[in-house]
Amino acid sequence: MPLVCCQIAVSTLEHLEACHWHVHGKIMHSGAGHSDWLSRANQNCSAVRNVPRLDSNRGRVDFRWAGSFGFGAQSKFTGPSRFPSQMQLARPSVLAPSTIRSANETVWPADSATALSAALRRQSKYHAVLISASDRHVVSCADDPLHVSLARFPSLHVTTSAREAKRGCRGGNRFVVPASCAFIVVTPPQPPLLRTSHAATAPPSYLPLIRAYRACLLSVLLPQLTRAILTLVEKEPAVFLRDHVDLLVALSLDYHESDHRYVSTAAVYRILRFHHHTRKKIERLYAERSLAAQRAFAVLYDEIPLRCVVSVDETHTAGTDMYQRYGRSQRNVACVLLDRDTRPIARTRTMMAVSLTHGVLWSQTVIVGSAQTADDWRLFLQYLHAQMNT
Amino acid sequence: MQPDACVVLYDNAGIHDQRGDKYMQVNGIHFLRLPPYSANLQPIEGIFSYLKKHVLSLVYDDDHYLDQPFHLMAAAVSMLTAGQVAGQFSRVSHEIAKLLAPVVHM
Repeated sequence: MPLVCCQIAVSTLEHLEACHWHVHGKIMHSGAGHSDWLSRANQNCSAVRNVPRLDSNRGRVDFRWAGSFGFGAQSKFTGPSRFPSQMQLARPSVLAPSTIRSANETVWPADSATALSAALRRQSKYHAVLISASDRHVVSCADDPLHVSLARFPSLHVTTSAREAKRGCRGGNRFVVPASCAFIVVTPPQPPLLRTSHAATAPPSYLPLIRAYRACLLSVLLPQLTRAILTLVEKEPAVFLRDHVDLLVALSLDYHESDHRYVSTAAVYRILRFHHHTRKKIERLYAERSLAAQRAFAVLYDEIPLRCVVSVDETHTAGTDMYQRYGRSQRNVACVLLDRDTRPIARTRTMMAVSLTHGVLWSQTVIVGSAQTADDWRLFLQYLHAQMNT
Repeated sequence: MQPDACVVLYDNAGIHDQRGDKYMQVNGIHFLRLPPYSANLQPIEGIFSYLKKHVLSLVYDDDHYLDQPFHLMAAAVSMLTAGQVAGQFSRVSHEIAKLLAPVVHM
């Protein structure tokens, strides 16, 4: 299970609470304001069965806190779940008492990098372990860096140093690292390979990992996911576009052995875009089309000789269609860009009919204010009728 | 004029209303509507992309076309070749063949 190493402020733990993350570990240095969070966490813990309350011991705060599992797309889990099937699959494993480790196991000596790596591997999924600031170098010294992923998870800034954490994070979830902060090692509830890497904030040592991540994204892990998404798009295009929940549920049902897999809409569209299915294209071509209707049309079309087919359609031409947006030039020749002309350009509509034997059979261009009407269509048919052998 | 009796193929745009269908029925024009949102089965859709490229090239070479939209479109249409049209018909034929192919369940 890949791991996520990040640095968070104590106040950010409230996001964990809001996102229903399962947190288990030890805070060695409690910062200002932690007592408020502690009291709120106590209230939440008391509302969850089989979860002990937080307690304090000689200035150190040992806590065990668990909430119901939720996905990162939701900052606050209210109302019915958007992912019912995944919730049902994930919840028993999260709240099982066996997944709660004792607090003593989360304290590592400063020189036990190997022990830390082994401990991290033993962590069950959905676990988060807080490490004190004095021990944070152990995380960077883990003997298997490939197990430390740069995966993003909700409301937390993925970083490995305090200097980067001070820059804030993306998505408006900015926070200021206080003097006493905790380091957290989290096994995310989703495979990090599906997540966006923070290439901009990653240290140079992680660049090979990022490249490996991108390679894995398209080659190693995602063939199954890609095949599932493309199959679903082809079979159930309307469902895919209207309700992404159905897509996610279908994926979770198809891959129930990995119930922790979370597929964000961004990941779905990234995969589709890689296969040249942009959202606009899908909406236009796949929104309402029916494969059965297309097959019926194909049977009809197949019976018509191609020389007898006259394809008719219309298009518009506006000013933006007449300018080179990015310029062009021959090699070693300065590019001359045409600036926007101040002259008003008429908006035209062109109806055209083509056939295999005659090429362009008929075309008709009109200057329209807004759009063509049915009268234009019938006028075009009258002219076209004269060209056809009916 | 077309050598054979031809079939007009058009999509389900709003301007292609029932009165146009009635006009074709009265005048003995055979027509066939595309399935909804199946622009990939329409040969002329690819022709329009060529047309717009020609419009770009013509305006780039001579900006006087900006004042003469009819001349511009006529020149652009005249630049379309029979090969481009035949290529689009071939593309649609491949699409039709894929639709008619038996579905293989993995």
